[in-house]
Amino acid sequence: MKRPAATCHRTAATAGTAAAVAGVLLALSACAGGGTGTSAGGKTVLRITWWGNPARAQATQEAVALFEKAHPDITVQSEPSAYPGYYDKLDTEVTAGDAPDVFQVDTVSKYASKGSLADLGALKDVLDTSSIAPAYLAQGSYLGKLYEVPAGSNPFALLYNSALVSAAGVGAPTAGMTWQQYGDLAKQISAKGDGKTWGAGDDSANVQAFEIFVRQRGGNLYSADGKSLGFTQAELTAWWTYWDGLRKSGAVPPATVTEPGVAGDVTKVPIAKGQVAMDAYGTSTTLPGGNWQYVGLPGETAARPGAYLKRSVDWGVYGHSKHAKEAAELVDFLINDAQAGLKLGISRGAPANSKVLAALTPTLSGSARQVAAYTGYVGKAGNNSAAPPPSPSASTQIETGLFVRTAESVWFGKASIDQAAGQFMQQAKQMLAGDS
Amino acid sequence: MASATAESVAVRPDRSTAAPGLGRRPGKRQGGPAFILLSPWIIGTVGVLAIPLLYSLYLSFTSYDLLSAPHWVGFANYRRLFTSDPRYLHSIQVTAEYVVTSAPLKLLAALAVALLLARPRRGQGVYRALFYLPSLLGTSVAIAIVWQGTFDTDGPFNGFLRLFGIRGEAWVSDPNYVRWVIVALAMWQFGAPMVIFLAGLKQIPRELYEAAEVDGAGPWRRFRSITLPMLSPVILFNLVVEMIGAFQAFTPAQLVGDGQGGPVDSTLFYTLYLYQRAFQFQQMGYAAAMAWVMIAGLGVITGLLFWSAKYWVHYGD
Repeated sequence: MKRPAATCHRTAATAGTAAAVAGVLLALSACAGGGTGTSAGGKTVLRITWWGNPARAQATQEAVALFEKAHPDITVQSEPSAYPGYYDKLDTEVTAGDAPDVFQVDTVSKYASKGSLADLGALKDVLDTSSIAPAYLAQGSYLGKLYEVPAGSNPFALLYNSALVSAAGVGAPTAGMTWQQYGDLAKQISAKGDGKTWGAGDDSANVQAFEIFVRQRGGNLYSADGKSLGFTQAELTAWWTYWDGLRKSGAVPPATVTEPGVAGDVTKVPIAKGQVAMDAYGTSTTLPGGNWQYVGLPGETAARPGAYLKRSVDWGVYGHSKHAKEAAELVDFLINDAQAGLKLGISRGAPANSKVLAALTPTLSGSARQVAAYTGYVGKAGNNSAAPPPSPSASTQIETGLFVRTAESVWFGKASIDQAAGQFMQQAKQMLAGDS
Repeated sequence: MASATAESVAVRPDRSTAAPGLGRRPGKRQGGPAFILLSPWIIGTVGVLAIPLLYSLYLSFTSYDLLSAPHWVGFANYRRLFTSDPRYLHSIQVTAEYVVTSAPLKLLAALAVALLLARPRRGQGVYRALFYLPSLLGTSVAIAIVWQGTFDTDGPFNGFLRLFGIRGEAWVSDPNYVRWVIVALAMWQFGAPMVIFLAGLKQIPRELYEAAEVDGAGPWRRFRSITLPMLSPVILFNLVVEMIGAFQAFTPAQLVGDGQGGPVDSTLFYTLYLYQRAFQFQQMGYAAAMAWVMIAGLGVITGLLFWSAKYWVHYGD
């Protein structure tokens, strides 16, 4: 290694070498720059990405094709993805400065606070949000500015498989049941099953169901300023104790049946696999098969409903997009165009756009009709309360990581309910403070 | 290697010069072409290896979220690793348990198969290729996914157990078992150490076995007193390589586990946690510190293995 260094005097030859090396480096960097060009034959190329099941992917691609037909000068590259890994990839692309122009997103503050989302108010000439209820728009806003447009609605529901429920010979779950009654019903269904089906899904690791539970008690997942939790350790303990009892009585399946679905893969959740008859579930994800009915979650009262008009997912425009205007046109088309609305159907829940929803509803049948009807039901006064403030940026870490992890430690006997709840509170506090 | 290349290029025109030392004096001029020819290597090593390596060392002393410039925090990352991050300590434990189970078991499997294949027989090339095949496939993402499906609650493995009336467990969903599924995946990829063991076995002089046989040594005695000592340098080599490989395991934890370290952090391998910190939490400085602790740890463990060699490795002289 040392020898060639000894010859390294400043001579014309070495200078030439340096130039040659620099030349090679330049050539390399030129190659690297080639990939991100967004113009192909004078056409603007937009990239769009989202997560979801194949049905959503197909519906979105069909709607995007309509957009391309209406805008011959724009080509759209679709990059559909499954939920697991979606944000990892998006975050990496955002940090590399190479994110898709339009992306599906559901955590506004995380991206808006870092300038990764375009201020849609500045693009309102091409992006019309007048048909979307302010309650939905508020969920896509950060510090008073609109950064994301809701693509659909996702009021949380109690979903049940009417075939399994009627096979057990029990009455269907109804809105206004107490949590106690829900557990008893689940127990009855399990008892009639063959040991491979259970009454209800185990929602102890389901943070959205827990959110409804704490809202029924006047809380929220986070405080209004997003700097602390909006519920108490006692409430978390009560939640896990409730499910622990149901697990032990056989009303809900054992942990090993529930575990494969917690990472977010729709095809692996027990309700979709026909292993349980009832489960708390969102309305924006269409499950395979037909016999799905939607009612309000247990514990709802007119005095203090936990349900709210939750937006399912949003469309956001990348803050550093070179084609922000065209990207906003695409978003406008996806949320406002009637034809696109018919293609998209309820692939992201019932449309948040009231006009599109009105046009779509008569065409729906089966489960899709149920979703639209349930969304209408939640929208009525007394069945919903005000939406919570936008989640803090640590929310993904807390909800998909910490909450699931600590709930699972109870399932598998790695921690007592009190220990797990204590760990959750302490670590969530650290994450919200931004030092973990 | 590089300097050798450089020298041969530099020296060639001066073949007539007797002493190579003298030949380098007028070599001022010949440095140029040498550097041009070396430039792919230099660019590669400096640009892809040295600079990122040093930069990551620098980052490990900073707080860096990729979006804003890194700012210096001294040893804070390292301090936090060992004082206020229980998940980090847990990831070390998970990884250590994996290494001390998977590496020896894999070597045992490799040695056992190598002993079987070492005897000359018809079609042995085919057998060797077949036994090596899993190692080519095993590191791939596809196989990890297939592996997870195989050991799923209603997967083929439990179907196989049912033939014998055994009710299988939920191997990949249960935190008590999933680690063993990953260890089994590692064991199955015994091909590379097997090939090295085979080469080592071929090196053992036949006379030793013949002489031992004449002295009345049985097969076990021959294995213990001839094969193992004669093979010990190869065992050391394989042990070091497999141990380092096991410490760096990422794909199986990401794909056989749930990708978040679950269930209940039972698959939270060191590298997976590092990936989470870096790419999910955007804590590049913290992740860089983790990487450097890992390098240091690997260095120490490898050093200990080499040090222990004098007690059990037989170099035959």
